Amino acid sequence: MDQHPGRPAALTPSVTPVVTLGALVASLGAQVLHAGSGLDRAVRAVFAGDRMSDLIGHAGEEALIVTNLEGAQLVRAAQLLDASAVLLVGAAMVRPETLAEAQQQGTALLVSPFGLYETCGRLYQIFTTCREQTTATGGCP
Amino acid sequence: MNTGTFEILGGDYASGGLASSGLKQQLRWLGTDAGVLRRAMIAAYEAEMNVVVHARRGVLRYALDAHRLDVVVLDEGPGIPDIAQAMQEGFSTASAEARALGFGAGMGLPNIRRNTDSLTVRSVVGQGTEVCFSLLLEPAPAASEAESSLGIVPERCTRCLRCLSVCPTAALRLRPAGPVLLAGLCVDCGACLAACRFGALVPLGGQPALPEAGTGPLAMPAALAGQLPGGPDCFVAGLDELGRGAPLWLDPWEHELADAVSRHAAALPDDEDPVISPACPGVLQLLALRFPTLLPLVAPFATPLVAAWPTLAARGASLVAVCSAGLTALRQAGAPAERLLLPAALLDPLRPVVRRLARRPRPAASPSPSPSPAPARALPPGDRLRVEGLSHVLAVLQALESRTLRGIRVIEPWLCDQGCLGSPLLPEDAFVAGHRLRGFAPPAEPGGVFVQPRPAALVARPGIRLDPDLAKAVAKLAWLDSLTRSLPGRDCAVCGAPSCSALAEDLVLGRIPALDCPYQAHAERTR
Repeated sequence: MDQHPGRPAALTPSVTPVVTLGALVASLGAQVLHAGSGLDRAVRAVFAGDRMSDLIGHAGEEALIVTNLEGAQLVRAAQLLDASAVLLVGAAMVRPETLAEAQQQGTALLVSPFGLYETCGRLYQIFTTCREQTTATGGCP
Repeated sequence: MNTGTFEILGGDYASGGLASSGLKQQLRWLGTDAGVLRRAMIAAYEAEMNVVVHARRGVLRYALDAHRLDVVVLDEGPGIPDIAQAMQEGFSTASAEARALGFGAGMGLPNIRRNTDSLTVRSVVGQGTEVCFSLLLEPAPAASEAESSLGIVPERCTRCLRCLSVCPTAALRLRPAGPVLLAGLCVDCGACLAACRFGALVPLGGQPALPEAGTGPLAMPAALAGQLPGGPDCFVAGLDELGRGAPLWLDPWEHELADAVSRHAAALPDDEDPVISPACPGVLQLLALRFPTLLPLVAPFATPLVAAWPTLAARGASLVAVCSAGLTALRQAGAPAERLLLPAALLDPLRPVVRRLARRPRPAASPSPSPSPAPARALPPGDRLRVEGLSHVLAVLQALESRTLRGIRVIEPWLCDQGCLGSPLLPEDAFVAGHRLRGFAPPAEPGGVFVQPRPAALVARPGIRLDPDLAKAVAKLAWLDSLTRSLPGRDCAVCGAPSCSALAEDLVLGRIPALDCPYQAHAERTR
């Protein structure tokens, strides 16, 4: 996987298992501010970054956007892309207008207790474990 | 036609994205393909946020019909002094406030260009900027639907243009979002696979990994045995060590076909046109598309891969195909995808084993099977012409079509240099591999049926039809002619079409919304 400084890191291993939002929330101990269309929604890819153009250019349908960018416009961008959810990192304080936007758009909004680095590390671990289980047993919890 | 306008307020980050949301709803109602919708949203959002970040106010206007979306985003703002600079990735003049919110990555205009089918930016410093872009709403047919084995990984494309210049049928285009295959024009020759150094074009439809050991033998052409050091002896020993047993070689099918074609030609009257061998599956596709008048000359036998498949299927074998045309022919013959392997699936695990075996000193006594005496051919060798390599095959078939090639009874064309040895999917040089195979006569599978009649008639492919209605087609042809004449004729391919005439054709056939010739644009700027 080629990594460029500043580009968002695609954290998903090459064989993409499907992990539900609920499983990610449970593993990370994330706070669910708004569940959007439900925690059983699939996450097929994870994109992390703090530049809007990178996130919007790379994240797609059923992606989880991991970012420090707390704001209504981020929630709106996620909705434009049909992303699964927005995961804010570092136990971010979420302003009421951001939450209101998530509720209005029906976008899942989560807050991770960990910083960007540790959140990504844990997500990578979840996807890798799940991929191994998918290969071995044909399914992933 | 559906049109609409959204106001955008500069500096109002909280409302940023509302115009794009409104546009998205319109596209949803139209049932727009999800991929096109995503591209439209990226472009609209970037253009909208440019107004929020840089300008005082602006509007987003759109016009939408069943086929295309046109968007104009017009603002009152500082303008862009150097548009070329603004189009560069990473260039930004955004404020600290915008950057704190994650904007100002300098990817706005490049992101729009990458996701739209055309983009123009006009700007007057001190007054404002106008960004116009269009997207065609009909999704291109997926490569898998067409009879072709070319896969595209657009994010790996570096826009080097090499694929455009090597494609013999002008089947590739380089759109802002990456390479696009006009599948109806592709003959699976693999020239673009060989030309692409970045992995943006890949063979499609073969398994990338070996099936479990013990699930059946592996079938392959001897060309694979020349890919690794040590030659066929080490190759077979390595396969054995991997628990794969002896391979089923495909070459006997090829040899038997050559004999059958010779006998077929010898039975025809002397003054008859030459017979074309159906040995190479890529050649059959090329004939159907580019030389339909030569189809009646093809000997009435199945291509060896297709002839071999029933025997191999009965043995439960998986087949290592060395080219994309072979993969396509096998799929058409009903071979299931899980039984087809790409060469790398076998060569990668085998390489370390064979390297070790090749280093081990071997007793000189292991005599490789003595070359079998050449089977008696029904024709003297001078009456046969074996042609290898795409450019030579094209030249010979053109000569044959114009009847300037005489005194030949059988033509055996192969799209790759050195026949299958030169396939772009094989890693070793064709001559090195050929040398390793010197004297190797792959044993025939006992009980195999080697020559099969052609399973279905060869049919000319339609290629490009300007219009099914002849009157409209004639009008379009006139338009095509005048467009082609209006272009510079440099065939530079920078526009993403391989030639000026291909660019004109793309417009006439509605594949692109507007002529976008960078050379013309440059000439206009300097005028």
